[in-house]
Amino acid sequence: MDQESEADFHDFVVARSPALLATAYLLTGDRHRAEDLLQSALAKALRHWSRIREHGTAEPYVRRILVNEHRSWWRSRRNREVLVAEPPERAAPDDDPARFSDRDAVWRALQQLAPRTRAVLVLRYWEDRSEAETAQLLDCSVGTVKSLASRGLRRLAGVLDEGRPAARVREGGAR
Amino acid sequence: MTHETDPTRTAAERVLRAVLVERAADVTPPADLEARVRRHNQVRRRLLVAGAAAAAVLVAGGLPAGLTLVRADAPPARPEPSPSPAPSCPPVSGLPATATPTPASPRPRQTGVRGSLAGDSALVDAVLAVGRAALGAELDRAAEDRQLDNGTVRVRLVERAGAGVVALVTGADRTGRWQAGQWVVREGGRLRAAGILNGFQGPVRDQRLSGRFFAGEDPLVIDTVPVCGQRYGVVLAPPDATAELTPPPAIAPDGQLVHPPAGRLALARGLAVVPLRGPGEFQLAVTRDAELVGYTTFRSSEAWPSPAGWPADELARAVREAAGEVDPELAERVADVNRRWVARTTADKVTGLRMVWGGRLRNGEPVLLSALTLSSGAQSIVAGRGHRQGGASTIIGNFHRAGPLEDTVFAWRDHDYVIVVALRAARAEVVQPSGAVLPVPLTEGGGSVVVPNRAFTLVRAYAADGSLLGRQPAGNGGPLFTR
Repeated sequence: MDQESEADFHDFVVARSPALLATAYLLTGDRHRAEDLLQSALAKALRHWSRIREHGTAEPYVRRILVNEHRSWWRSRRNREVLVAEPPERAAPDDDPARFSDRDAVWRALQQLAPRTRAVLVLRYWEDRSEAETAQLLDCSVGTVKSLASRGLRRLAGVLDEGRPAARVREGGAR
Repeated sequence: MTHETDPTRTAAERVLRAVLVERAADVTPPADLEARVRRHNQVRRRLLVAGAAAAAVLVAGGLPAGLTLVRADAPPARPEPSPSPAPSCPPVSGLPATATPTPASPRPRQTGVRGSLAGDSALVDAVLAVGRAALGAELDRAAEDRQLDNGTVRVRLVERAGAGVVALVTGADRTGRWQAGQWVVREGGRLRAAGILNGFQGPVRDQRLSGRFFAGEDPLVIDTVPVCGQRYGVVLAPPDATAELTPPPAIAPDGQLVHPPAGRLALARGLAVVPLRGPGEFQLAVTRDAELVGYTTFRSSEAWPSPAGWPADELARAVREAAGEVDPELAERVADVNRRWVARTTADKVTGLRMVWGGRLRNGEPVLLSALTLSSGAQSIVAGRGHRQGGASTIIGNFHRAGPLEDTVFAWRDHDYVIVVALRAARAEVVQPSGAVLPVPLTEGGGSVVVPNRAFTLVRAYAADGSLLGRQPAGNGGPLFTR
């Protein structure tokens, strides 16, 4: 790889790796796995960097690898004891406990979804991808994307409904 | 209109979006990501191993306690097999523990089990039972139409880990596509399933390289497992393999990571179980026939320090001495994230805390820039933002060279905001992709401006005499400053 490509790859990693890592983390739910996934995707991209650079398709290329590797290689179902890099957010004084409870529950529920369903939700609601783009990234039909998104959201909505009474109890108990 | 306020979206969609945004802010790429990527590819090209064994040296003075490193020219030490049962350790509270099960029916005798306790057939049988049950449960949990192929379930290792025992059971589903390694540990006389390395069949080379190859007679597994409150690094490699462990990097005064030389890890029939102590990130490479076949990074539990918080007086001083106005709640949180980021990366000591600047965004949310000084003088930079709806997000900005921060232009984007900290600046501006220039109102060397659409921008800061202090791109997730 020539010097210009080397520099270009460096710039790409510096500029885009935070966003790509965020996607990888949301896909996997595990910081270590997300780092592994991104590292692997970038390594593949680096091997073909001159060609990718020529076509100006670096980010879509890496993102596609991320999604595909997540699906086909290490699906994040590693039920190990997870080391928490950062403890759960501490509530600020004006925090609504019910809202926090909801968010924790939704995050946990997201981890329990099948990898492809989770990928659909991440691509649609984090990356703001259209249904067509999501379908293309996941190599499936738009109908499948709609169906998986609907199923996933139903699961999350169910979790939110379940969480309401508990949240109210906690609020009451705090008074 | 944002996802959060769009009335056409359901509550689930709004909460999901908020959760994704919040969680996404929790991760930051490791400082040496690019180096890791390049190393990964070097591995593929078989370039990394040249002279690796000869280069192995004892790491003078930098050897973390508990790691068994030997000179390359010395024969690797082997743990002494012991016929006596492993000592017990107190049960760890809060962890699910099951009584050591008695196998309900005779099981095929396990062969090829490694570790000093491999000869304890009762223990091996019990490990098999726990591991098999956990593997089956994992497949059930996956809710996919798969069944465990009992014929593939094998105990791979049973070894002491301090006062406890660590064991690995591998297995596959009936398609052979799903393969996994299940950790089983004994703590306080009880066996429990400790965690699963859950994977799918892929290129063997990739699986080996990532230390997650479970099939066949030569599995290659590299992982960390907590036993009795201590995290252990476990390497299970082909018996003729060698392993090298590189201690965490130091941060040089110029802010660059300096990796100490690797030391050779003693393997007994390809197996090592070593306690991981001290902060920072260890790198482990397994080589065989002069080819690097496995590579991963380890962190000890100390690399994830508990949020003990800073001494109140030190934090108060940092808040008091900051430029601008620092929100104390946010300061505490960001300082803690910064401390943990340092601990994840390096074993270097933190010698000082500084809140560089604090202010508020147009919506009233607090933002700040923090710096931790390390023993070399280099500084770990982390920015943070408190959110009205709760919580905070942080952006980790790598290591700044030793010396004053006053001449550095820091700039970053946080959603619709571009935040600038340039302590010596009299004025600053944001250049948008269209060429339009937005002035950034500064208060004591810092300020922010709304630049919607998450566009990539360039920040310029000027001294009172009009000279350019510096320029800093502020994109989505780019660096906070230029080294």
